[in-house]
Amino acid sequence: MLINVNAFIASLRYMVEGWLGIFVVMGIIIACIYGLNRFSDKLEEKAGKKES
Amino acid sequence: MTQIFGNFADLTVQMVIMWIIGGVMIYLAIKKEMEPTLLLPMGFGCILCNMPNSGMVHTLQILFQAGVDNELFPLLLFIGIGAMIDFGPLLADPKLLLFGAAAQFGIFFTLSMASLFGFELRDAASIAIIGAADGPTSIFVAQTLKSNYTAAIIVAAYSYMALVPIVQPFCIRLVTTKEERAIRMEYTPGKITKTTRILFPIVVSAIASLVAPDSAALVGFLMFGNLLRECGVLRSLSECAQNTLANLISLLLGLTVAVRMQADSFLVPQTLMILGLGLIAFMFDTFGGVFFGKFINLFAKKKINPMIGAAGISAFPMSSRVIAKMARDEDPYNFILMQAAGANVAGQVASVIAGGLVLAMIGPLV
Repeated sequence: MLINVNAFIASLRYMVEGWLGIFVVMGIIIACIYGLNRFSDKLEEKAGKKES
Repeated sequence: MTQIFGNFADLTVQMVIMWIIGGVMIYLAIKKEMEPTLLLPMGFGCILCNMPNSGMVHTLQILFQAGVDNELFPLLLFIGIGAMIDFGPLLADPKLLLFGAAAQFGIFFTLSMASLFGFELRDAASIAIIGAADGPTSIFVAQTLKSNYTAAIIVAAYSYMALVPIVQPFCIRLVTTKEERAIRMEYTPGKITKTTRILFPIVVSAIASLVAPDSAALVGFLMFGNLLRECGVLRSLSECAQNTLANLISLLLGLTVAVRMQADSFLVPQTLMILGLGLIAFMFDTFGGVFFGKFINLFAKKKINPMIGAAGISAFPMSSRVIAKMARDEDPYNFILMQAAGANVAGQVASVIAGGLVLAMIGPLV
């Protein structure tokens, strides 16, 4: 079996960047979901007012 | 007689070993019901592709080029998966998305381990994606990066998905105490409007396409399937995607992938290493999720059950069921299924995005 320490060290960059990258994307999606929830609540509120 | 028995002379021991492997896959599919939709056609195809001078290889090669080489089958399968998923528990508690992110740790850890063991970067990245616990993503990434070990990666990905009820409880027990596993969690679902449900797949597709353009197809097809489900006016299309389309593609995918399970390319030491690395990916995904749960508990007023972090591994819905059962085993009145399901669908989104990020990072280098 070939052990390639240099490749391992080089790949650590991907480990850190990739894992943190997912947290960043998830953070953006979470913010969007909260935004969507507020937006749709307001829409429903408006629709409710119009009906009444 | 020469015409009838002449072919026997070309039979090799390696071919017979592949028949046994195919037989084991069929046995596991039927007897143990382990991912039967994929393992059964794969096992059958494996046996037929390892007959001397088999005409099956040519036929399946055509299907492979038509559906796997160009990543069409996994993408179409994603429409079906998207139509099956209810993102409700996730939309009710969006923070659960963080568990999905945490439980992708195994992917990136395995990328480094595979590099250490001498795999080329494209193969290391493809092997690492086994940790996405998501067959179509594994196929998509392995094919896009033109990995030399597509078949072994697919076999490992689906085998470990089927082994989630064994692998995850073992890993979770290794790193949690009985008290932690028994932590109860209140479930107070937020109100989710239909508008949110409809806009969610569109927004996620747009974000993923902007952040990781390579994931646009993966996320887009998954979310398109979900939009079919949530829009409320395409019930028949949604049902077709969930049942007919998903079944048809699974059937073709399993059989087609078998063409890459020919003895000369499959029976190599690297296949065993890939199986080992796949296990590492699943284990470290689980550890990543659980440790993230413990980390949150350091600051949270209301403690969370760290096991729900492990459900962020994707493998939907098996992982959430396993976690919920483990919680009930510790305390019969501990119900965390909804939280685990939320983390589980978060894992589905995160694993697809992880696939896109891996392609964005590694793709230009290979």
